[in-house]
Formats: sequence, structure tokens, C-alpha cells
Amino acid sequence: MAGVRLNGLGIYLPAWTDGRVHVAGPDEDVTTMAVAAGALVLDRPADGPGTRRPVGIEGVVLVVREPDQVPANLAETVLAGLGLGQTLPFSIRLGGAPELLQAVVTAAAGTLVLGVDPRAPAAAGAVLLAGVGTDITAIGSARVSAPVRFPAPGGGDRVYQDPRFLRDVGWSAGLDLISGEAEPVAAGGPIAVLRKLRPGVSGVEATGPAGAVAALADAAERGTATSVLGLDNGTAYAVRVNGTDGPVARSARPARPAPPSWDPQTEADLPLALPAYTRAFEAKIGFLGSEEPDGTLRHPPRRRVPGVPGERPGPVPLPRSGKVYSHTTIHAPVPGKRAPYTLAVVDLDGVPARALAHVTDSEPGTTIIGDPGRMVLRRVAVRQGVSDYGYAFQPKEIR
Amino acid sequence: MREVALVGAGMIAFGERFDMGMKEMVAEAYAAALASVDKGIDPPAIGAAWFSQVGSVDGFPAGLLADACELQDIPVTRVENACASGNDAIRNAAYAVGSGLVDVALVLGSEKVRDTSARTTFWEWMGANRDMAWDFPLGLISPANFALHVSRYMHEFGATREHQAMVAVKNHHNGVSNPHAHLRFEVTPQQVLDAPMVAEPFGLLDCVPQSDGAAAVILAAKDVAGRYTDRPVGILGFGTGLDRIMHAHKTDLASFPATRKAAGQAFGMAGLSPTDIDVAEVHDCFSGVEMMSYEDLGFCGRGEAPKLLENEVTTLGGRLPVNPSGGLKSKGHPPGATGVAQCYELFHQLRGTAVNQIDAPRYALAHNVGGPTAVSAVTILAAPRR
Repeated sequence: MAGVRLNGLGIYLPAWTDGRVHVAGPDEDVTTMAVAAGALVLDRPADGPGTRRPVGIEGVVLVVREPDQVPANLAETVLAGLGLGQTLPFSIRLGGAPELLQAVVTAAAGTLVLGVDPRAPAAAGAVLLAGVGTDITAIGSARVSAPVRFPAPGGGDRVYQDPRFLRDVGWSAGLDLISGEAEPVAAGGPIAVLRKLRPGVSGVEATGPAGAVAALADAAERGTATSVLGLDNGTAYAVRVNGTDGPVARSARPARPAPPSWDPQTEADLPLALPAYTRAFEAKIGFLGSEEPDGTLRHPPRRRVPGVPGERPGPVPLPRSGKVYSHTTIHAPVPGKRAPYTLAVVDLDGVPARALAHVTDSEPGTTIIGDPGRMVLRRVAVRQGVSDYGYAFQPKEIR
Repeated sequence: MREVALVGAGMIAFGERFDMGMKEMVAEAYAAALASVDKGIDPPAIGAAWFSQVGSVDGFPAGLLADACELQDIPVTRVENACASGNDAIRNAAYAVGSGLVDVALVLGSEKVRDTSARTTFWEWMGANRDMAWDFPLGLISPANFALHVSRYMHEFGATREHQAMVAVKNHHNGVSNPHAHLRFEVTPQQVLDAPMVAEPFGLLDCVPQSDGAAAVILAAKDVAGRYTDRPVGILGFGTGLDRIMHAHKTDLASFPATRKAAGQAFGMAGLSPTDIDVAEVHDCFSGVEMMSYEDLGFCGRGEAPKLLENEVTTLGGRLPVNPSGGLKSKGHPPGATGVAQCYELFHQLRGTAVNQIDAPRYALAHNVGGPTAVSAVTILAAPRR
């Protein structure tokens, strides 16, 4: 059966929990989480400049479970956020854990497969494929029409309440695929139920395509051949992870409880100047700056200085780490923002450049001048319905 | 260039003037300025007018001024230079009078902030001051804009919220006696520190209120000023300075380069130095900004502003009283009107007719800083020569 060689696996978990599972931050969505996961595998030094354009990436496949999770500007933002060219093939596949596993074992060399679960339990995963091989081989698939879990109006999932049907029809066909396997890892079904049916099976927190990547990562780290089962309603896909040389990268940030509500106190429909958005896109999402004649770098980049002879150097990729130079936390009830929120001017590491950004993944008001951290792609605002992405400062220290 | 003087000044009380629209405020400030001229003035004597107005409420600004003040036969120009509009409009008028092309000029500043709901002003201000693609969506409201500077200043020089609170206490105290002031109540240092936080380190009492208002001054060439008054106030120098408009591009957030440039131009033109100034109206849109401005204006050395406050140098009884009118903090801050109202106060100070009169000042300074902390205007005035 089909098999692929891995070049890397990455699991991204948000910085927040609801007490039980991870939840995405208020500035995160499918786009930003896809970039966070992809960045883990694209051989990117965590804090270094985005200079190395990842070589050998031939295409991107993004797997998500629901179409309403896909913003209109997702593809171009993910490509730019990962430093990939805009001409790369980018496809979006709708499906859960099985869909992602199938995408992985049928992917051509140089494909980056991304799986994102934006709703709790939230996670994102990335798999970088190097072509035909035996790191992951397909076991088989099964599909029975049994929509046991389906989207509820207004968000979230509903589950068809019939435990014996769920057990006998919903997940059984999938479990049959791995009946002979030792200690498989499953994603997409309730682990407590699965364990009763199939002792020895272990699970992961995420239940969608990101869960499948988490299961692959768990299996890869075991060091022995381990099967992975993806379940989504009555669909099942099973693979065997035989071992890989590719690195497994996990975002290492410990999570902490989310506030009771992230909703802004009042609504605001912020205007969007779409031409201005389009002009700024490349530098904003690629985190590029411009160089002054005296060597200073500017972000946002500046246009040609009149009267200065010679060619203006091209856009300069900037380092993604820095320290807080100044900050303020806003408590005033600004419509559309949830107060308090913190803004910082960040000195970027090793270059004479600064950036102005939200402080993210931290308690507002805890920032101190000198705090080190990283610049991460987040959704800055929603303007006239359009997601406006940009970089936020994620402090290293959690207060 | 010939010498230029102020021969009249008028203003309306600043506040939430729900009772007056832009046209009414403009007309009243104009009337007050005319009435203030010692020997009287006929409106046909005015050769040109400049209208300092940041937000164009009720439409076409220059036309509104000309229409409301019956000045339809002269050139009228609207000046917008963020919060520096008032003093910058005075500079523009002074160019015209100093050049010899105009003998008498009107400068009127007016702002109508409170015709829109108090909440929408946040995004309105940001839309007028921020790059739409980059900074606008961040929600860097006006107080935060200045807070990034004061936060860095406090870090570098050890200034505290207690220091900036001294500015608020001082200016509120001064405003109590000013019948034109928006807020006329004392505050204690503890009240300032305990007030709800707006944008750290500014609490509610460190911030200006939202104010409507209008003020006007009349400029005349020294050669002809005698027709209007025997006690003209000389305009000795002025300057307007600029800085980078994005915070990420500014070199040093612990200072306002725009103010340094404007002050440098003004002092250079006047042939004076900061130690010559006896009284000043300084742009305290937020308490910490007045503190930082002492250094940028040259009233003290780098990092020494907190000491000036601790030693009460800038109180009414100190060596260099700052904001005897109550400043923006207590008098109010209708952006287009503020710079002009500062010169109204200094006009009275230099002629001995101010409410909180300083003892015989000879030279006075008015200062604004505004926008994305990127522009400043400074005017230096002199008492009538005896």
C-alpha cells in the first residue's frame, strides 16, 4: 500500500485552556494556527530572521472540518506567513482526522500538510512530506454513513445520543482496521469509549485533523512501529508509523486558564481600506522591513527617500524576536476591543528596527520594559468582515 | 520681516457646549476678540483670516468661518496640524503680517468634539491619525499614543505616576479661578493616583476632558498696532517641528523631537533662551506630557523634569509658572482652539490682566504637541514695551 517519507512533524497548542482542554486565543483562527504549526516544521530557527525561504516545498494542503472556519484570505496569508511563494498550489480539504491521514499518505514530495482544529479542543498540526517511502504506510480505510457528530447551529458540535449505535456503527468499522495492531493511537473518537472496545488504544486531546497529526507525533516518538487511527463520524482511516528521521517539534508554551469571556464589551465595525490592505500585505504578513541609507531598518517599510541617490535596497526580512522597548495597557472602553489590552513597541533582536504590536498570550498589564519574546502572526482585527492579520508580541515569560 | 503683535484676544468658556454649534462658537469667540481691542477695531480692517480646526464639523471650514463672522471679502484658510493647529495658525498669520502683505489678521481656533457620542471619538481620532493598513487596527487611542512616550521616559529617568500627578494637581488648582475652564475643581495627589486607569500610566485625572470651545486672537503689524492699542504684545518668535509619524520609526520615545525643533526655531528667531521665559502655557494633554515637555522646551536638563515638579518650580508661586490658566487638563482641550487659547492667556499675562496673574512677566511661551506625537508648534511672546 501507499507510503511516504517524513521530513518533519509539528504540533502547535494555544496558550490557553478552559480548565479541561486547550482553547484558541481571541486573536487566533484557522489561518494563524496553520502558520504556527507550519513554522514549527519549516526548519526555521525559532527566533532567527525569516531569511531562509523554505526549499523544496511544492504545495500546501490544509485540512479543516467545517467550511465556515475558512476566511476568504486564508491561502495567501498562510503562504505569506510561512515565507512561501504565492504561486504554490494550495488546496483546502474538508474533513477530520481520517481526511488528514489520507492526505498525508497520498501526498507528493515537498507537500506541507496542515491540520487545524480551531474549536476546543484547539490545536494545529503540520506534516512535511519528502516523497515515497516507508515512514508512514497506509493500513486501510472504512466509511459508513453514520453522522454521529455534526455542527450545531450557532457553533460547536452536537452528538447523536445513542451510545450503543455510536459504539456498534459509529466507530466499530474503524476499530476493525486496527484489530491486530499493538497499542494504537486514535484521534477523533471518544477515548473512553474506544478503550472499552479496544483495550490498549491511546488517544490525543484534539479530535479533528490536528488530532491526527498529534497522534502521528505520539506514534513517531515511540520509536517502534505504531498504528494511528483517524475517526470522524463513520469514516475511518488507519496508517502505520514505522519510524522517521524527521524531527518532531512541539510548541512548548505551558497553557493557562482563559478569562471567562473574550468578547469585546461593545461592537464596532471597523472600516477597511482594501487597497491599503492589499498594498501592505506582503510586508505586513511577511514581516519585512526597509533599509535606510544609514543602515537603520524600518518596520513598516518606508518608500524611497527623495534626493538620496542610488537604488533602494529591496525588502528586508526581519528577526522574529525582540525585547519590549515601551508599552501601555489600555483600560478605556474602546468599542470592538476587549479591555484591558496591551500594546508594545518592540526592539527587534540584533537589528536597528522596532515594531508596534499587540501583546498576546499573556495577562494584560503584566508587560515590563525589557521583556523578551517573539513576534507571532495573529488576527489583529476584523474589519468590515475581513480578517486583518499582523504580528503580535508573545512574551517569553508567562506572568 | 516687520514686527508683528497681538492687539486683541477673546475666547468662550470651554466645556461640553451642547448649547452651541460650531457656527455659534466661532461667532462668539470672534466677537469677544473684537471687543477686547483697547481702542476698538472695525472688521473691515482685517485683511486675512486663519481658521484652526482639526475636525471639520458642520462642513467646509474656511467657508464656515467667513460665513459666521461676516468675513466673506477676505482670504480665509483652514489650518490643520493636529493639536498644534492653533499655534501653527498663528505662525501662518504672522508670516502674512510680517511680510507686509497684510496689516491685520484674525486667527480663530474652534473645535466641536461633543456633537458625536463620547465613545465614537476613539476610532474617529485613530482614523484621522493612523495608517489605515498598519497602525489603525491596533487600537492605539490618543492617550495610548502619548503613554508609550511617558512609559519609556519613566523607565529611563525614574519619574513616577506621583510626579505626573503633581502636574494634574497644579493645573486643576489653577483652573479653579479661570471662568473659561471646563473643569473647575481641585484634585489631590491621591485622587489622581486612585482614578480609574485609562491607558497606563495615565488615569482618568491625568487625561484632558473632551471639550468644545473657541478662541481668537487679532494680529497687527507693529507699525499699525497703535491704532488699536498702546499695549501690544509682541510675537517675537515661532516654530513648527515634525517627527516620524509611526511609533516604530521614532528614534527615542523618551522625548518629543517635534517640540525640540519647534522650540529651537522659536528661540532662535526671538533671540532668547529658555531661561528668559517667565511664564508658559505647555501642552498638558496628559499630565506626563507636560513633565516631559519641560525638557524638550529647554526649561531643564535631560531627566530633570521630575525635580522641577518636586521643587514646585512650575506652580503659580514658582520661578517659572506653567499653565496658569489651568492648562489643557483643567481648561479643556478643543484641539483647534487650544493653541489660540494659550495665547489668549499669555496676552493677558503679559499685559497684567490675567486671572492668575504672574508678577510682571516679560517673555512668555505657548507650546502644543500633537497628532501621532509628530508635530509641535511654539510661540514666544513679549510684554508691551514701556
